[in-house]
Amino acid sequence: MSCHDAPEPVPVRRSAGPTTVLDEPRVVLVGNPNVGKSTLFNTLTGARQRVVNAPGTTVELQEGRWRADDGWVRLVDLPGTYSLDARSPDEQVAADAVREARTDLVVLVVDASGLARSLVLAGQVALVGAPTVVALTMSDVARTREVAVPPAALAARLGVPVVAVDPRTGAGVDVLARTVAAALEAPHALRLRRTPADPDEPDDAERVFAWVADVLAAVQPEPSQRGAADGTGRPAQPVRTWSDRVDRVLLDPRVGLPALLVVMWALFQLATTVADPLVSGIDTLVNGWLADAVRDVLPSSGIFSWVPGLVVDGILAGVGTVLSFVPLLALVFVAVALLEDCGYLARAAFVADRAMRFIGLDGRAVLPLVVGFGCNVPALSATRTLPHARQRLLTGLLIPFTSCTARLTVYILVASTFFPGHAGTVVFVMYVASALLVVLGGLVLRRTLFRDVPRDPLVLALPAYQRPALRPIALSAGVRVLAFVRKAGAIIVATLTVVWVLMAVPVTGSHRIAEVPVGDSLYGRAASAIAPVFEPAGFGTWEASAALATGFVAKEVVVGSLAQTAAVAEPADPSQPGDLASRLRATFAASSGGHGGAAAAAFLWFVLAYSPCLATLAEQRRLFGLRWTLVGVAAGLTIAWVGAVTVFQVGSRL
Amino acid sequence: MNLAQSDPGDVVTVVRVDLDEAMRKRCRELGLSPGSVVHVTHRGGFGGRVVGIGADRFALDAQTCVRVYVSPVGAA
Repeated sequence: MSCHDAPEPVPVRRSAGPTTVLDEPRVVLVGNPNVGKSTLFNTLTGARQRVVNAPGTTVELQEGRWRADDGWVRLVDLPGTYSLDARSPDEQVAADAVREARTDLVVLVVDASGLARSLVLAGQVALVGAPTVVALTMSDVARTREVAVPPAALAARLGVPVVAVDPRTGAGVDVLARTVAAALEAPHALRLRRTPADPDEPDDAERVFAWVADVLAAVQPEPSQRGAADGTGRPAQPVRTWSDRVDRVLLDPRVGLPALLVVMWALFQLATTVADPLVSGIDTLVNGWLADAVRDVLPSSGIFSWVPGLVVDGILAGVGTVLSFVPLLALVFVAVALLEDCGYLARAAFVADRAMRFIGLDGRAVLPLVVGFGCNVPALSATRTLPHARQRLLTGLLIPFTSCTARLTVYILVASTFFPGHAGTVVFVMYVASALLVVLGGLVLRRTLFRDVPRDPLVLALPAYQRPALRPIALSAGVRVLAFVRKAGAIIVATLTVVWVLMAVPVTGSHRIAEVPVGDSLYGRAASAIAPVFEPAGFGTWEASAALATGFVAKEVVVGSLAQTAAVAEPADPSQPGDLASRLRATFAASSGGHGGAAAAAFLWFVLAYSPCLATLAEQRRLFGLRWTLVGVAAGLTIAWVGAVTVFQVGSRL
Repeated sequence: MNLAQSDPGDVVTVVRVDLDEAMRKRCRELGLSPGSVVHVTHRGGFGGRVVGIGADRFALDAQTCVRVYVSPVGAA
């Protein structure tokens, strides 16, 4: 909308206390990507924040409460955008929020080191006519680059208050609070003044560009400071910064790729080797000590003898599963946020762009996909670094095909049992197959469900390298881990409890509740009902079906399930399967008409391709909604089944 | 010449940006439009370039670089 003569907005309501949330004015943070907007948000709100989805979208926003001088406001951190002329769902959310009537004030975060680019957005906010306060960031970087912006001069030109802030140190936020409080009482909107160059320019975009040049000329009178955006065509003196010097190394094709591989290796190690002891520690704490303590206080005999089983093996196991993801998620969140905040993520996106673009993904998708080979759950969470909602969804649908370490135990067991001389090769082939599934999945999705995602030319801003701000990163990681525990956690605990009930209820034989062999339980009956589906793949037994159904919950327990249904002890080392090996060979040989190896290969394929675990599904549902989660499950099961049948039918004829 | 033919250290003026209209507008919002003076700061893998527009740095892939026509500063 164009507002040459936008009416002065009416004064907005303010709340006096911290409890009257609904009456609190809504203040939105708007700005280009990488201008310190989210750091400012975290500094202002502290722990009083939560992750919410923008209505009707999968775009995540952080919303919090901020005490602006003597009253509370609701502060919303909008997705970074260069323009209100949106080119992605995320940018659309930002543009809509600025235009919404319920937005009482826009805090426009202006990058002093990239003033021209920030002013373009300011000009578009001016067209909307929303009440605005400018928070001027990156003044230190601007001074380094010899393009300092005097706040007073900028304020005089823009007609709204301008406050210089440093989101990392908190410098200036007190002044910002007072300024926002005053602006809520007496709002001012940015106005596009008519410029001498285009006094009657009818086109809004042209008016914005003319206004930007006009403001730049007033605020940064030296053409060399303005760079190219002044449109004068005069050469500006290049300023070589230390970021340029670092980039000479990290963007050099000979160094950049190995450097990216090292970063990816480190992330993978973080999601596996570093996280493992923490995950085990939580498992010991919840499923060991806490479980024992709970068992001690609950009745172990009588008509309620099943209660400890339900509480410990159902509910508490679910809680333990959820909590075991906490250190893993926190580590990956912090690591990815550090990479983003220090400026490396944009370089990684540039280096990986060509390879990722081949399968229709954004260069930034490389990090979540690599994390996926460690664990799919934090990988899904790491997709938040992709700036386009459809790209996040596309990557999120491919992540389950990255073979997480939980699947490795199944590969080792089955490969050691059926291909003892070539177990290493078989495991390697599984990882190659996983990579191929990601590539082919990307190619197919881009040509079908994701044809709408534009293949945009890459014009990617490379922010200056900087020291990451640790406190805001820790806060943000905490809030996001909490969102997982609350939303995905409820689904995981509920489902694991239902699985326990299915395994506890006897349907054949004379067993007491919770003291029933799997084969005689409701779960075993259900597995038997499913088994014929797998006959064309050579493993149509209730034991295999039960193991795969358990694998739907978590792949870690597939080996245990196979051992349980074979009535042997679970091998401590899956590469030394012992009694389980002979039982498995006998079961698979019987179900496959003597082609146990082909059936085993088909089983491996199925384990690779179908849904990795309940936690992944719960996180997909949280991030992308139920519909897309079901689409992913259906696609995974279809690919798994068709592939397994093909592997068996071909393998058994060789 | 186009941007893909430039070398790190070159200072060039953008002559034409041969992209679709929406993308051309986005490039202009970022400061990359006819008349802009850009510094080629780095050469990336597969023919990409990093350019300095004022104090900003932008990475462009090879396909985009060949669509950005430039002339050396000082040339007619």
